[in-house]
Amino acid sequence: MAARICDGPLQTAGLLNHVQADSRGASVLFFGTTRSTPGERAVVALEYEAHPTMAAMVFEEIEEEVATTWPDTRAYVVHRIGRVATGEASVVVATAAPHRKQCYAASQYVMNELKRRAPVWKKEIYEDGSAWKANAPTRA
Amino acid sequence: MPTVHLRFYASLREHFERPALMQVFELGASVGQVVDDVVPHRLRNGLRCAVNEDFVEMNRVLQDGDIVDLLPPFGGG
Repeated sequence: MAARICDGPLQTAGLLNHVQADSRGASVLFFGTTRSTPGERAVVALEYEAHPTMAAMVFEEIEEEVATTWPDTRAYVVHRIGRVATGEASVVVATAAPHRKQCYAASQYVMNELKRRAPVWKKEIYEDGSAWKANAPTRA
Repeated sequence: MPTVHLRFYASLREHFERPALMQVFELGASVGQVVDDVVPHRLRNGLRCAVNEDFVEMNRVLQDGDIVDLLPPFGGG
């Protein structure tokens, strides 16, 4: 469980090992990173909280959906909790597939579904306060 | 009457100033009734619930000893 929900910087070395195989010619390592100004107030950090067991279960469900939706395609997700400063990654998605088109599609699918279904919460931290932020509905 | 363990996250945990509480409800009470009894109206928008770590609908009837997670709108990623 600790491998999926991490309190501290994400260790990304070796993540692709969870998904790569000789038959998969494309790999994508997607990083979701704290950016400085998603709103009108300058964000200095994000603070994440999760329901760790349920979030990990949702990650595994989504990974299974990837494996059944695209032939010979795999995905693996890790998500950080706690304070994440600007420029640091809060989520990393590793995907691998025989070809790049399905590899990119799988990576996008994982992020869209994770944002919609995983019990993870985000608080924006400003110089002068903070606010919980929910994800907007995913655009097509 | 069932005693239920309620767990709060994110904005709800801050609102209640605690991560959890035990509460007794009427026999046959549903998750939706728990939400109506406990969660202020302004914090119900987009709320989802889980019982014993499974997502459930609001009409799920509670049993003694159930763990009910009250999950505000998600913000991961």
